[in-house]
This record gives sequence, C-alpha cells and structure tokens, in this order.
Amino acid sequence: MFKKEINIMVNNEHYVREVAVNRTLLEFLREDLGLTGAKEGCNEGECGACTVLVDGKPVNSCLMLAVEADGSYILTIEGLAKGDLLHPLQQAFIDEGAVQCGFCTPGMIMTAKAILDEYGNPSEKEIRKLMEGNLCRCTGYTRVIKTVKKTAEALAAK
Amino acid sequence: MSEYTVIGKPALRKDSHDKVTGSAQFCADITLTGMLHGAVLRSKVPHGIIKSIDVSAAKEAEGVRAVVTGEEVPYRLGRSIMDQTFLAIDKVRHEGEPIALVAADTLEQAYAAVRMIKVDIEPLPAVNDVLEAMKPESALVHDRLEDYWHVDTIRPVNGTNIYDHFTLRKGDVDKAFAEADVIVENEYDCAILHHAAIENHLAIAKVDGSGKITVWSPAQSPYYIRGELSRALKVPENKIRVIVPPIGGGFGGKLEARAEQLAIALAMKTHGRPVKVAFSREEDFLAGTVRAGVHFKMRTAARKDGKILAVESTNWWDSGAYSTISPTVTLKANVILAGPYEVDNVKMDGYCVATNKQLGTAQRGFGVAEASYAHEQQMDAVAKALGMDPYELRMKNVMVDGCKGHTGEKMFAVGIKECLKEAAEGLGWEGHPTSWITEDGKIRGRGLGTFMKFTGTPSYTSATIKLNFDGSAVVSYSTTELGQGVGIVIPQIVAEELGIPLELISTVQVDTDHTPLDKTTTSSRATYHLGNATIKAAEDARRQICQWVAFKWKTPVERIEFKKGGIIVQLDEQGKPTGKQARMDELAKNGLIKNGEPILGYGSYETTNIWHKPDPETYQTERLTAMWFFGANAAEVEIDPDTAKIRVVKVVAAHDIGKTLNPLGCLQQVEGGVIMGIGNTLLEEFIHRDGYLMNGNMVDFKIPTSMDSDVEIEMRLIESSPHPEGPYGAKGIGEPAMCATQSAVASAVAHALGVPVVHVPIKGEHILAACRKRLEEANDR
Ligand code: FES
Ligand code: FES
Repeated sequence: MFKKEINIMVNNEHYVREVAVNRTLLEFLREDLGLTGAKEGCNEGECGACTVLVDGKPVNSCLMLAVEADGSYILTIEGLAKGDLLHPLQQAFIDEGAVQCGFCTPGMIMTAKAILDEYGNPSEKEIRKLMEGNLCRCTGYTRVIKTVKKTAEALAAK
Repeated sequence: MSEYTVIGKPALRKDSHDKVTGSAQFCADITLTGMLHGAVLRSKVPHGIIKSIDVSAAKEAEGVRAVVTGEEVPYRLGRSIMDQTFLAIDKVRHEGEPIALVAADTLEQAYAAVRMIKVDIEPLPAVNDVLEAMKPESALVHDRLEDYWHVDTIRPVNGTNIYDHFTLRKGDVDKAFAEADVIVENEYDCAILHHAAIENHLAIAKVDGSGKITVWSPAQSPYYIRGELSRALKVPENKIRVIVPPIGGGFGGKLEARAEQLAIALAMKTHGRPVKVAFSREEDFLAGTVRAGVHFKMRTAARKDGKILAVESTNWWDSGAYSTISPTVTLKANVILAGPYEVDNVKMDGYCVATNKQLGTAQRGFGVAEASYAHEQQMDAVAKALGMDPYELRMKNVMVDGCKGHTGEKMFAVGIKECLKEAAEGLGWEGHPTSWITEDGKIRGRGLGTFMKFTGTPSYTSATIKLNFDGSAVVSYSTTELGQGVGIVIPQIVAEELGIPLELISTVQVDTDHTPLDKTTTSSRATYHLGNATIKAAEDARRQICQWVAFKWKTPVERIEFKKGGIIVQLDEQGKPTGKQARMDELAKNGLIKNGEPILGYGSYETTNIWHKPDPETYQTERLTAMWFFGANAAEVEIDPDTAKIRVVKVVAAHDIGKTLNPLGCLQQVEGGVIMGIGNTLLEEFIHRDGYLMNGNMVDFKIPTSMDSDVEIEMRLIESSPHPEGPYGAKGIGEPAMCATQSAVASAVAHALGVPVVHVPIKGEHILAACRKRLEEANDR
C-alpha cells in the first residue's frame, strides 16, 4: 500500500510517521501508537466509541484517514488527565456512576469535553442532542447526561 | 440506624478509574508477542450445500500462516443439542456462518487471502419463519436431528425443525374454559433482535507445545465456555484456560462461544503463535447471537368477578440455525407465561424451532420480557372484556405467599403485590384515565407490566478471600463483571463481614486457571449466589483469624470473639471483655496477622439440594428454583397522531429486590434496563427476507440513543419480601427492569389507542390507523 509521511501532535507529543494512505486515524492511534483508549464499535461512523478530538472537534476516528489528520492536533482519552489529576469530566463519570461496562466511556467523555469547550454550559436537552452520536447499551444515558450537565455547571460556576 | 455499615449504602465501582482514563485493556486492546490476525470466510447464503472449497491460492498468499476448513475441525458445540460445528461442513445453515479461516501476519493479509478462497454453494430454499418451519412440507434446517447428542431434559422431534417441545400442565384447563364467563384469545409476535453490546465478539487463542489452550475472550461465563470447548475438543478442562479481560457489554450475547472456537481452530495450526479473531459489526450481527423471535397464541379464561381461571398458550421460538441454549429460553418463558398471578389451570406448549436465521439465544431476561408482554396484553384484554380497571384486575389475581405457583410449588417471598402497588402509585394510577388527549392534540396512555422470573437451578459458585499482612484483602470469584456491578457488591460484602475498609478490598481478573469455579453469569444470579458464597468465605476467614489471634494472644480460641464491624475482642473466663482488643481496619498498624499463618477464606454455594426435578410432561415440582423474583413497571406514553411516533414519558420501576445492597448499582441497572427495554419495544427488529438479513448494521438496526432516553425513570426498590436464603435477604436486579418495560410500554400504547399491541417492536405503520380512529372517537364526543 502507498505510504505517506505525516506530522502529527497527539496528546502533546509530536510524531512523524509513515502511514499507509488507507489507514484510518483509529488504526493509527491504536496500532501504531498503542493508544487503545479509543475503541472500535462499528467502524462505520455510527457508535462514537472511537471519538477523539481533532483540533478540538470531536471526530469518529474510524472514518478519518490518518493522512487526513496530517498537521493536526489530536487529543485522545489518554491525554485528558493532567498527570494524576483527572479531568473534571473523568472524575464526574466516576463519582456519578456514569460508567458501566465502560466500552463507550472514552468516546463519551471526549464528545462531552468538546461540548463543554464549545458551548460552556448547555442545557440537558442540548447535551442530549449533541451526544446522539455516542451509543451506549448499558447506562441508558440517564446518568451520562446528568453527569455532563453537572460538570458543565460546576465548571461554569468557577 | 441501619444494622449494616457498608451494605445498603451507595458504593462506587472499582473499575471506573481505569475506564475513564482509557487504560482498561479490553480484549481488542491486547496484543501478544507474535500474534497473528485471523479472518473468516462466511456464507453469503442462508441455506445451501457446499459443493467445493478451494483454498489453494489463499494458502500461498503473502503473510498467510494457516488456513482452516470445516473437515479439519469437525468438533461439535451445543449446550442443549450438539448440532453446531466450528465451521460449516457440507451445508451452511445461516447467512454469515463461518466456512473457512485464515491467519496471517496482518489483518489486511488475512482478509486478502480470504477473498482468494473459492467456494461453491448450491442454494437451498431457506426456512424463514417459525410457523412455516412447523409445516410438514417445510424444508429441514437439520436433516437428521436424531444424529446429534442432546441433554435428556429436552425433546427434539426427529424429521422436523423442532429442537424442543416444552410442556407444562396444571389443573384442568378444558373444564376451566367451559366454566368461564369470558374467554380472551389473541396472538402476539416479538421480532428477533440483537443484544448490540458496543463491543463485538472477539477472542485470542494460543495453543502451546503441550497442547494447552489459552483463550482471552470477553466471555460472560468463562467456565461455561471452557466446558463447551472441552466437550467439543475432547480435551480435559485443565488443558483449557479462559482469561476474561474487561467485557464491553454482554446482556446474554456473550454467553455462547462465537469467536473463541475460530481462534482456537487457527491457533492449533500456528505452532504456539497466538491468533486474534475479531468480528466486525456486520459479522457480529450475522454471526453473533440474537434474542429469538417468538409467536404466541394465548387464551385466557376469567370469571365475571375478575378471577383468572385458566391460561393456555402455544408458542414458537425462532431459534435459528443452531440450538445453543434456546430450549432453556423457551422453558423459562413458558413456566411464567401465565404471569405472576394465581391461576389454577395452566397449559403451555412451547416449541423451540430451527430456521435458517441467526442463532436465537438468551437475552437479559431469558424470554421473560417477551412472555410478560404476552401475558400482560392478555390481562388488559380481560380487563377490557370485563369492564374492570386493569390495575384492579391484576391486584385481584397476584400471587401471594403460600399460594401454589404454575409449577405446583408453594411460593414464598412473593413481592409482586407491593411492587404493583408501588408502580401504580408512582404513576398516580388511581382515578386517572388510561387514555386521554392532551391539549396539543397528542394521545397519551398509561399501562402496567408485571413479571416473575426464576433463577436457573441447580447452580453453583465459589469465592475466596485472601488477607494480606497489611490488612488489605483480595476477593476472587469467576462471576464476570459485565457492567452490572458485581465487582463492587462483592467487595461490599467482604467489607461488611470482615470490617476491612472497602477501599482496601480488590477483585481479581477472572481466569479459569486461578479464580474459583462458577457456573454462569446469567439469570440475575450474581448477588444471590456469589453473595452467599462470599459470606461463607468471610466466615471461614474469620475462623482462621480467630485461631491465629488466639495463638498470638495465648488465649483459648473460645475466648476470642470476632464482633460485628471487625473488632476482635479477648474475653475472660466469664465471657466478659478483658479490654484487650484489635480492629480489622487497623491491621496495617497493629500488625496482628503479620508474618502469621496466611489467611485464605473459602466459601461456596450450590443449589442442588433444594431443587426437585420437575415432571417432564407437566413440569410440576416441589421446588424449581433457589429464587423467584418479581416486579412491576408502570409506563406513560405519548403518541403523536400525525407521525405515529411513540414517546415514553415516564416509567416507574418497582422491583422485589429483597434487600438493597448497593442502591447506586441498582439504579444503574434499572435506568439501563428501562432504556434497553424501550429500545426492544419501539425500535429494534431484525428484518429478514428469505433468510437474508436486510438490516445488519447500526444505521438500520436502531438502538436507543441519548435522544430516546429523555424518559423520567423512577425506581422503587421493594424490600418487604426478603429472601430467607439470600445474602441479607437480597434477590437479583440485573434483568428485572428489562423484563417489565416491554410489557408496560405495550400496555400503555394499547390503552392509549384502545387496540391490543400484537407486534413488538411497535412501529408507526402498525398504529397509524388506530391513531386516526382514536382521534375521531375523541372528536365525536
Ligand atoms: S467505531 Fe467509529 S463510530 Fe463506531
Ligand atoms: S457503559 Fe457499556 S456501552 Fe456504555
């Protein structure tokens, strides 16, 4: 397969790598960089388990080619905490019981982070709408939505 | 004040930190040294004869290390009937059935080689429908069912598509129908649907030089899989090891071996190199397992005053191309198909039927959600026929302690009455109409759903508690964490029993070489069974601790008392405290057990003794199960008459939990279960044409999203009927919320529109005409 060199920042680390042009960003992250936090649930853009942030925007990394991410700044779930200090969303997902099997959780949290970054303190209804692309079969979303809302409020109050 | 310190208080899961940081290693995240990647050639047709397979080009392809076809692995799987080979041999029986396998250095190479395999299949007519499958002229999915070994508790019918015919007979149904004031007769359908855990099936297998097989897989029930594989391969169980990484959702879908046998088949040819076989989403739909579809014929007889006299049903379960555990699903549904009501006359005929479709098996509820939908529609129909309030009718008939169950056994710890009362109350049932039009022209309706379910018996499990010298403890067991929270409830019990702080208690990765024996993780059984085993393990640990302390304090062991909360007290000869004591939560400081005799508590729980084998014809018995559990949901729905879109407004879930061990865990189960139940009722459906799956992807097979979850959920945990044999009185909560959601929502829709719901999922096209009619009626008034 034809290869191309890409120049990419992932979780504050700089990488220059040769990748096959048909390699998805998800494969690149999981297999080439060993960052397995983003999950594959469908590989067709439907479940959101593979969500990472590309230049701050949530992206289904199974649908993006690694070469398309050339020159971008990627944030994955592994890069969210500051050392041992969890991101408020991560802490809230634990404290509010928004995690069950946890397979959807990395994607959920990344989408939630993008929402908070962009909208500040959106309503529960808006959060529901914005998280529609992240499927979860365990929680029924109730706790997830509440958790995101609560975190948004807490951050907005600061 | 509560008599417990940890039990009954909300506790946070122990695995969350790993999961929110992305460091939890699911099976897909594991890469072993030298690991190869497997790919599967699958049947494109639902039914056909394999004329030839040519793998010569694939064998020569770049990177290929192994190619396997059916004849090379003629091993048979099947819990009920051993009807399933690892790969198709001679015949394919469903779309997506595995035919050949390739292992290569990279996944791309494996797929490229799979595409080089030439297979010639002569298509046969596909058996697409259960009722069609029952006809004498139907094509046969399995030509000779009699050739397969089967368990002696089921009755396959040779020369037909019937895997099993289950029967239950109680009282005199014919007489009851003859004497009835009203008879209600209806047919109901539930579609096939998929568990749709977000993690697909996958496995890694390695076969070492001595022939030992190690499998990493998100198996819900690793010992069950080990048993299945051992019987299939004729390899002793100690030569098979199943290691379970965190599981990305199960719901019954990860009970059966799906990817495990394929990875093993390849690994047997790769000279010790591990092989990973991971299903794509499409493969998971086609070749995972599904919730069987079912068609019910129901007849109910009642007296004028509302007393239910008899329930009779014949029902057909679409169990697909291989039987797996589906006869048990048929059984479980039929045992409770008369509902949690006292009914003297019951007659059930359940057929577990083969078709050329996906493998119908267990889903959260084991057939009870479907059965509950059918019996509750019947109750509503009876209420309507008698002009009675649906709640009153149910209350009049619900089972009570001491009554005779459908299996003839004397029932105890029956919590249904309280559940039903609380569910109705939560919705404000009394004096409120069950159907009305809102000011903005929407149709609203309210409904009720009840269920009863039993946990699989006989069953067994075991646990050990290891104390470290620093006062921390490790509890190990083989009930898997599916997201249901067993990994926190069990440490809670250890903390309660030993007085060790919860944060100092950890659990162990389930691994059949290391963690103790367990039957399955199904049937809402974890808390009850494993809870009991853990209490016993703690008892054993306490005994050992007292022995050691007696030695250390040079006191006869009779004068050492282990008090609640983990305080060890020395007594004098009169049995009075001497003042010398030590605390379990300070073991690190007091060094009490340091360098002493290692303490390892062991406990087991099994239910063989309490189980009485039911009569095979009537299914009557003295005691069928360790635990019956009950519940009721009440639901309110709103229907937009223009689009026929149904929105669930509120669900009150009242469940007979016996005793709440972790309220937060229960809430998680209930919220998740209710939304999943709504998905089952309003969205999820496999659509087949001639055996071909038309919607095997996440776009066309819809599960609830966050947009479907805007439902007010109220949980009421009913503790009025504790289980005398349960840990602290507890029963199960894994399945209940699911079991009664489908029936409650269907009941609400039926009430809203004034017509029975005869098909689930309820789609707009089914109810559009009824919506119009309902509005016209309203306008006429
Ligand atoms: S794996 Fe990317 S959206 Fe599902
Ligand atoms: S927690 Fe299991 S899929 Fe979301």
